[in-house]
Amino acid sequence: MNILSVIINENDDLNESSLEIFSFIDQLGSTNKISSLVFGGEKSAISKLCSDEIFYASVENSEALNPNNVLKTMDKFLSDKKFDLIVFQKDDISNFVAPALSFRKDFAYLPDVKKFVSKNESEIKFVRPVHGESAEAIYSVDISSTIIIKIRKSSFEIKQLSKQNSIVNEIILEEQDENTFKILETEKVKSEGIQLDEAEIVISGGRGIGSKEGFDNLKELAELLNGALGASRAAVESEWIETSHLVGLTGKWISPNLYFTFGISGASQHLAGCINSKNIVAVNKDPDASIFNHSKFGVIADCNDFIKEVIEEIKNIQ
Amino acid sequence: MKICVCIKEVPDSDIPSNKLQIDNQSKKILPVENISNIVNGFDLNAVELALRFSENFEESSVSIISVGNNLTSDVIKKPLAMGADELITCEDPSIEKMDIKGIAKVLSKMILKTGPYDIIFCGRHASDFDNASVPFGISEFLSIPLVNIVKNIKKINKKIIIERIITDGFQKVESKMPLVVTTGNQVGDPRYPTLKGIMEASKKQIKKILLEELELEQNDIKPKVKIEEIYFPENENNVEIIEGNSNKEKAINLITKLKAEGVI
Repeated sequence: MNILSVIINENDDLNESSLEIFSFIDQLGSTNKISSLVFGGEKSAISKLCSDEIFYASVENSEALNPNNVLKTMDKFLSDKKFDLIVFQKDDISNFVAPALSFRKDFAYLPDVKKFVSKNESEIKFVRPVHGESAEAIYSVDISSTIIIKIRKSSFEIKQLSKQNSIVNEIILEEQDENTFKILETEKVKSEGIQLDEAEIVISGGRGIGSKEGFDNLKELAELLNGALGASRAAVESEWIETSHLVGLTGKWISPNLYFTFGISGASQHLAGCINSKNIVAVNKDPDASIFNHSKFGVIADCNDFIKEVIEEIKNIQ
Repeated sequence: MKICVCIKEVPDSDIPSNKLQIDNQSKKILPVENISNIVNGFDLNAVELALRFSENFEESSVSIISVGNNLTSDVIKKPLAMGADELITCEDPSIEKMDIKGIAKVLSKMILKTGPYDIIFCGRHASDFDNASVPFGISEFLSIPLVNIVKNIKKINKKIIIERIITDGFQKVESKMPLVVTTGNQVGDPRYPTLKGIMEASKKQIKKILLEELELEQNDIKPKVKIEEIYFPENENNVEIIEGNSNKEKAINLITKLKAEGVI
C-alpha cells in the first residue's frame, strides 16, 4: 500500500506522540511505501522520520495555525498524488482536517482506530472503541478509494526515529480563503505544575471529592509524588478545578505509569482518556464503581478521608 | 436570525456497561429494557447555545432537525420543551445502514429543503459512535465555514465573532454567515424544560420529511465504512482490593504495595 502519515508539530520540536503513527503502519506489513507530510516544527527535526519520502510545510506561528490552511494545503497536495491510506493522529488540527478532507475528497474515514485486523482485495478491517470505552467494534472499510484513518492516542508505541536522513521536500502552506473562519486571537492557558500528558504519575479527582477545597489534598499529593493533577468531567463542570486538568474523551488522553484516582466512578467518557495508564489505583466508597474493573489496586473508602492518610504515609517514608 | 440545530437520539451514555446489551443483528448497542434513550449530550449543549444566541434578536427561530429510524418522540421533543420552535425529522430504516457521508448528505438536504438558515448548530460528537465528523460533512456539502468546539458566539455588525476551545486555551475567531458551529460541554449546562415548555412541546406536531423527498443519489448513501461486529472487550483485569481495619492501615498497605511494585 501507498501510505501517507500526517504530522502536526505545535512547536519547534518533533511532536513525539506522532511517532505512534509509524508503529501503527508497521502493523500493516513491511512492504508498504511510506510518505510523511509534516506541518510546522524545525525542518532539521524531521529528516529522520521512518519514511521513504518526506514533505514539509513550514508554519510561521504554529500556535495559531488555522486548520483550514492545512486542509487547503492537503487538498492541493493530493491533487496529483494518490495514497491508499492517509493516517492522522489525534490533535486539534487533525481532528478538524481529517474528517473535513474525507468529505471534500470523497474518501472513507474512520477515527480512533486502535488495531488493524485484516486486509483482502476489497476491504480492510480495523477495531475502534464505541459507546465511550464500553464496547469495541470491528469496522470494514472499502479500499476502492483512499481511506483516512485517525489513530487512537496512546494505542501504539512511539517508534524510534530512523538512523538515516531522508530528503525533505518543502511545500508551501496555503492561506485559507474567505469561505472559512479567521483567527483573531489565540490564548494558551497552561495548567500549573507538571503537564498532564507528560507526567509519569497522575493524581485525579472526581465527583466524590465534593468540593474545591477537596482538590487541595489532591494538589498536595501530586506535589509529594512529583505528579500532575487530573480531574473527571464532573469535577470540572462543578468548577472545583480548571478545564485544563480534564482527563477523558473530551479532555487529555494520558498514559502515565501510575493513575491514582479519588472519587472517580469510571464513566466511559472518563475511561477513554486514562485506560492506557500502566497502573490504575482507584479509591471509591462504592464497591461496584466500574473504575475497579480497570484498576490494579482498589481501596473502598471515603476518598477525602483516605487521601489524608495517604499523604501522611508518603510524608513518613520520604 | 434563522437557526437550526441537528440532534441525535442515543443510548444514555451514563449507563454502566453491565446495563448495556449488543444487538448484532442491527449492529447497535441497546440499553437493557426500561432505560430511556436521551438526546446526545453535546447536542443539548448545541440547543442551549442556539437558544441563548437567538434571544439576542427580535425576530428569530430555532428549528431542530433529527434523522434516524424509530425515533422516540418524547426524547427528541426535549429541545422543543427547552424553547425551540419546531422539530423536523426524517425517519427511514435505510438511514441505519448509512455511514457518516450518508447521514451528512441527508442532513444537508434537509437543511436546504427547510432553510435557508443563518447558523447550523451541532454537538461536537455523538456519544454512541464517537465519529465527530458529520458536521464537517454538512460544512463541506453546503460549502460554508465550520467552527468547532464553540463556547460563545456573538453577532457584531455583520460578522460572527466566536470563542472556540483549543487544547490548553481558546481562540477568538471571525466568520461570515451562514456557518456550521459545533459545541461541547464548555457551553454550560443545557436549561431545564419548564412545565409550560413540556406542555407546549407535547402539543407540537413533528414535521416529517420522507427520505424520498430528499432525492439522494445512490452514491450518497452507499456506505464505504461498515460495522462488522460489536462486542464488549473481555475484562481480564482482576483488581486487588486493599484491606485494612482503618483507612490508615489501608493507606499503609497500599503504599507498601506500590513501593514493592516500583510504581512510586
